Amino acid sequence: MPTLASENELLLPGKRTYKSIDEQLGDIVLDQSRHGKTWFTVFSIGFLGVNLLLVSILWLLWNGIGVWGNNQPVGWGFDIINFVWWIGIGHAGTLISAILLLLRQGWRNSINRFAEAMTIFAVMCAGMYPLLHTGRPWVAYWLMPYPNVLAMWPQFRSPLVWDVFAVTTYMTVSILFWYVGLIPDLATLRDRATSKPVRVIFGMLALGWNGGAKSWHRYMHASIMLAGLSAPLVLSVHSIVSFDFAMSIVPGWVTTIFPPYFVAGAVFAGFAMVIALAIPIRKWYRLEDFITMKHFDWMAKVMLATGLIVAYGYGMEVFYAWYSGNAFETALLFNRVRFGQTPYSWSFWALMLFNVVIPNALWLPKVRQNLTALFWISMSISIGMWFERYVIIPISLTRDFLPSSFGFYTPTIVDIGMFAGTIGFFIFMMFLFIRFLPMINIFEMKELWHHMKHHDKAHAASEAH
Amino acid sequence: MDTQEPKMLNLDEVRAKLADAQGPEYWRSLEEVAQTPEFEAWLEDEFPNRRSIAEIDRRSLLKLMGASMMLAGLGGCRSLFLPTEKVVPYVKMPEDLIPGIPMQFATAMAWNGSSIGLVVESHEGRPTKIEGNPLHPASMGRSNHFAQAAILNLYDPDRLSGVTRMGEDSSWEFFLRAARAALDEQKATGGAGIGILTPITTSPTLISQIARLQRVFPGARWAQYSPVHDDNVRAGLQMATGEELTPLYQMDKADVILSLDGDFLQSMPDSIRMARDYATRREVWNADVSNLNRLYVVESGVTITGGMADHRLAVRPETVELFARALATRLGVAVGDAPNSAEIPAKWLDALTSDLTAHRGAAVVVAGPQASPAVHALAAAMNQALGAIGATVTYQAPLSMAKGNTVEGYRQFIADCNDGKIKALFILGGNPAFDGPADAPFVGAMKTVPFSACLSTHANETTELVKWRLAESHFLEAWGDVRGYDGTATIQQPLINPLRDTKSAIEVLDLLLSGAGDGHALVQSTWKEMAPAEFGKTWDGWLNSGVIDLAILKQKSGAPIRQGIDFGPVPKPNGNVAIVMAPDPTIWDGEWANNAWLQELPKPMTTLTWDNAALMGAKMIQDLGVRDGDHVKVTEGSKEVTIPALLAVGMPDNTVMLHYGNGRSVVGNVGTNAGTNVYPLRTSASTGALYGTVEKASGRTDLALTQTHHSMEGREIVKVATVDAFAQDTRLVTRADEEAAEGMNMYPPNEEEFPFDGAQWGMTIDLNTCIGCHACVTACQSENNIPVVGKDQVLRGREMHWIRIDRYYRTAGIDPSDKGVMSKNVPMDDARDITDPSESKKDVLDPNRIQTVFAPVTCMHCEKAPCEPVCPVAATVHSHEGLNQMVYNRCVGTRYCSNNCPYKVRRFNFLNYTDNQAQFAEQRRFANAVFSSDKNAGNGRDMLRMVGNPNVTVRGRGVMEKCTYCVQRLNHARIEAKKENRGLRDGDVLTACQQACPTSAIIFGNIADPKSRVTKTKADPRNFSMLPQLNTVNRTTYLARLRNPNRNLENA
Repeated sequence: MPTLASENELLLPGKRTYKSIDEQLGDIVLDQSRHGKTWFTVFSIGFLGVNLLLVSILWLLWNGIGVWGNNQPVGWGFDIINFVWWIGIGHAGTLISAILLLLRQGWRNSINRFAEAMTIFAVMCAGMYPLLHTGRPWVAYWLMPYPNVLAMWPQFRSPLVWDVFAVTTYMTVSILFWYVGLIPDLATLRDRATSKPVRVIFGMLALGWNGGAKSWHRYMHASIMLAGLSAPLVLSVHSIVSFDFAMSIVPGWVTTIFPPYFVAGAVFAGFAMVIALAIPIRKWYRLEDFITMKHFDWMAKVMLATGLIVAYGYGMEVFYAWYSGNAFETALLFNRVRFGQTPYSWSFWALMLFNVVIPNALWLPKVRQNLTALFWISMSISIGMWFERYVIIPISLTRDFLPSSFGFYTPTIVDIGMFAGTIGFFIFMMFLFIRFLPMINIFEMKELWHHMKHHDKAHAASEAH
Repeated sequence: MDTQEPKMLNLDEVRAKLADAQGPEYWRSLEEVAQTPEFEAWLEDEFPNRRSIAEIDRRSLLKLMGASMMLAGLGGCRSLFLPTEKVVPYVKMPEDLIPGIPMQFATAMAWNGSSIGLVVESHEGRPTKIEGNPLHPASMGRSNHFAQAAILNLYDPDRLSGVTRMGEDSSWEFFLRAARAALDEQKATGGAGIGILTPITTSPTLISQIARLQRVFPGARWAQYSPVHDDNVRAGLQMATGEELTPLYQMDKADVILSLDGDFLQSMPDSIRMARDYATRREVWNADVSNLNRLYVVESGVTITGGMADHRLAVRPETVELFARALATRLGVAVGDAPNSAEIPAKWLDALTSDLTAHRGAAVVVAGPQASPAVHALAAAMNQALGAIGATVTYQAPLSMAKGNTVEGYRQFIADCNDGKIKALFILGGNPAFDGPADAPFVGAMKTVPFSACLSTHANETTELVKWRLAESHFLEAWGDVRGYDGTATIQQPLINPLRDTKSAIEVLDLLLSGAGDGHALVQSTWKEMAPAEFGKTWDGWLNSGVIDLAILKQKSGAPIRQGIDFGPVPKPNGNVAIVMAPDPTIWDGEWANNAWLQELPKPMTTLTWDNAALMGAKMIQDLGVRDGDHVKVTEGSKEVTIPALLAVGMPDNTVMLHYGNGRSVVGNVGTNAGTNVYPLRTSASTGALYGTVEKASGRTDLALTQTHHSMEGREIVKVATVDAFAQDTRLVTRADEEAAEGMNMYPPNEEEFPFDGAQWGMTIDLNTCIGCHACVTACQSENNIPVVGKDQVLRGREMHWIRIDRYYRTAGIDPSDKGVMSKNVPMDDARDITDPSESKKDVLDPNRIQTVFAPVTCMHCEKAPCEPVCPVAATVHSHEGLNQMVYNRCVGTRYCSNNCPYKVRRFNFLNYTDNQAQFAEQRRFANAVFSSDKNAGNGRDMLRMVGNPNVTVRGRGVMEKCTYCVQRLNHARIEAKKENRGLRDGDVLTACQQACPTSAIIFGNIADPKSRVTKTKADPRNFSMLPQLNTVNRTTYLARLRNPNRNLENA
């Protein structure tokens, strides 16, 4: 078993000073010349996506939900698939920043900022869907409890109302947590800024941080409290999202295992997205010193563990369908799994391939150490998790109770455009973030360095005797 | 200033010059026509008025400018101190009219050589809803989808207005002048060059008008032609009795019915009456099955009558006659030659012979209009042999004046046109250029006729070819009369002034003859003549009741059936593919092609909308290697039609069924590109089946089906049992409900969770009498302002009907333990099993084993509605009277309720359907309305708004909607009851679907009232809920379908 010292060595290898850490990380923001063609290319793709998103949304608002593929009996299609998918992706950020903080997992430090930003942008993408999927988005605020002359409240029994609370809470807490964590680094950037406007902007954002003991004391309190608030959200948000389905009576939706299985799925998808983003960015910004192979190893292990929970969930779904003796559940199961016999069975087997078969390669340490493999496995999981929602949401609806109303679901170009648009928006926001805010927690890196310099060395020295 | 006074125009001179004008002539002013010297000068001068502008003085200029500025300023202030909306009260209040209270008027609609008595609701002079007339013997308060949809035709934006000559605007005066001149030319020859072409009509006034014309012009030819006719019926009875007769069936008196290709429940004349009579014998209360009749259907196509059959035999069309010959021989009719056919199982003949003879005097043989004359003669002879005549069927003189072979008559008429014998042609309704037989092409005939005019409500293929196109009034806009069923007549009274510049056929004829053209006076004079004694006393009564019930109108019974009838030669077996032609179930012969409600109405057996298809059985589909929608080429002789294929599992092998009426080329917005025209296959010689080939062609058409899954997948959704199984176990139907009620239930008892008080609304749908005709669907569409979505949206599964008719198939006799319970069948999974050529599937798709059940599905108004708890904004809530209500203006459109509805009866406005119905498809019309003087263009939206029911909210996009149990009618009844200071009585409320239902299969009322009919039906041992295991406690329940098979034929 590696000692703490050697572990920290793995997390922050090489010789450095506090200044070199500041330079390496802070200059990504302060020295704009570091963002070259790569940044511009990816950002442009993101920007095109944003435009595609805006066009899709305008077209949707102008015409109505009919521009999507939703129909009778499939009331929810790409809209809710993508909502759940994006929300799930967000979960890794909160898990890394909150739960791993509470569990004192030091290895989270170099990826947490980045993962939190990912959470916020993913929740933004997710949040668009429930709003826009309503037939009359201009009155979607009726889902909020607000005082009005009609004394009309939302209908609190509806899981959609719970969703509103869950997602807005999640968004608020995530933004707060992220921002609070940014303050010391913003102050560092303020102090290192060479031009006045930059100094002023970062100065305002740093909220008067002076690096004093009091500041640090308050910071530590705020951050641990927010972590405490966020930790249950990791579990609750996706549980509540899963209630949209689990609380219904639709065969294939009404399953008690949904809450834990959705949470595991969310962490699974979230880590996949963190890895998929971290690998290229690490390379482009030469952050090999901060995001090390050890990080990837840990993340891959988390991914494998949650992947196995998800696989167990799939197994239980099959088991329940059989064990319940419910004809509708059984029929739904056959509808999903009879390959080539039913219209959408291919998507179930695609899900199995992407989410169960391929991620099992992570058992091999060699795979966990191979970034190319890891990148493609993460991609496979992202696709697989999308298919999971595809299989659950519209495909369950295509065949529920009455064979007379069995139907089909085919997405339209607007569905695909809007999904591609949210991906573009996500990339757009991520790359703005990378350019204008420190993507790796500078002060926590320095803290780690401090540990290594003073405590680990002493510790290692004492052990050597 | 110019002091020279312009010369006065001589208007008479101008009129005379205009009257002589022919062809498209344009003129700028009356002066041009008069060709005055002033005009010539004006025409020469480039700026004719410049002198006056140049000569204006300073003061006048300032005055004019000042005045212009002031008036322009005032105009801008208009909306500040003047109301912009005009509300005009009645200066003279119309008699009996109370604003807000609809009025009812009795009238009738001509349909299929007969008529349907109607009561039309009118809101402040605007007809909005058509119902059957309870006093009329042919409708008995019921209706069909055509009657229901007729109101939409009235407001169709594509209707014609005024007169055009060769496509140029003209006027009735011009037309009459030209027509009278054309008639006058024929005076010399006694009118030998005059041709009148009408659809087959029963109108006494029209008949007398034509007689009047023929008195003036004895040589005038009158042909009646409709593509759907009863030529074969009359010919068959001529064969049997020596007289042209038509049968009048009394299905309520028949214990055993044999139908030979006779779709008496939907497409035969007076089908509403026959369906009702039939249904009275399918009603089974308290497990007393003694009332049940038994229906055998031998048919070569797929019809709802076959769907209702206790035993159905699918055979090729020529075999229908062979079957009739074989059976008649067994029943003791001297038939002569009765060769056997492999398609006729001996068991069937044995069973039928014994069953029919066992019910002598209470059995009837029905033959359909497309069956050969010999089949009709054989049916008459069999009815004679069974003692049915006078008991279950009478043969009476036809209602219409159609004589002999009308198709041959039409062919001769067109030949006369071609030969130049007809110089002046008047077409009063109908569309022969589209629906005429292929061997008498109308197009060619028009080249030789110097004067031709066609009266039509819509532009069609015929109006394109004639010289004069005249706009016809809708039957709700004009006076008229029709006869139906047993001869009963009805005065058609106008409910509204013609919306356009239109005239009715009798008005046009009268204008030609005398020039008055007053429809009211014409109808009155007819009836004064027909019933002088009663006329004075009862004219108002006739209008009021909608029924003229006079002894002189009753059709007389015809001559008796002869012995030793010569049934003609035996049909030869034909190896080619048999092509069965039938009118389209929803758009009929093409007349209704521009009616969006009917275009979008699923055809009962196929659920196809907006199209027609070549219907073929499974084996044929497999052999051709086509899937639904792939094109096939149907060839008969030198004529061919390319049309999409569609599986219809009940089709006999080697037979294809084509519905005619689709594929109109000159039609309004709605009917454009809807379906394929198959009339080119029909000739005057082929009124029955045709024989040809079917082969795979390239291309495909996506067919908009509303139901793609036809098996119950082993789920016991709709309960069907044989009489025997039901007698052995009377809890057979109710058991599942009882078990569900006893079983585990998480919900608290009713009263704890939700207090119900007042009337408790509930509905029962009797599947034993539901014939699947779809009248309820159109009735609901009309009552509840349900929009039409168009083919592309139906393809996406977004049709808006609040009530739909589910249709399931079952294959009998596959499972030995099968007791006739519908769900116990071998699943037929989409097209995949259909294309599975394996032996195991062969029997499943055997057309003779296919049984059909129809189940209308509306909102179940569940007491524990799954839709309610999932709505985030409480837009769907329960009423204390047990209605599951939809609050449109609260709905934000999450569609969660629809996902959670197990019955999938909720409908979502995915787009702004109400304002973008297919009738509006061509937005160009708007521009036309604004920028062009064409009176026919534009105002489509405004016209269509008039069809709406003012008591029902119109739903915008993004809102969920569904069946409300016609809550507006409930409220109306409640108000009426309160006004009379009484409680609601059973029968106070009829929902729209219930009212339209020809068979009274829908029963609605207060289930809290133990004496109400609906409560009694819910206690019946046939009562069951759909999906009882979900414990939703449905307010809409069903009465199980009971099949009454012949034991000797079961397991055949």
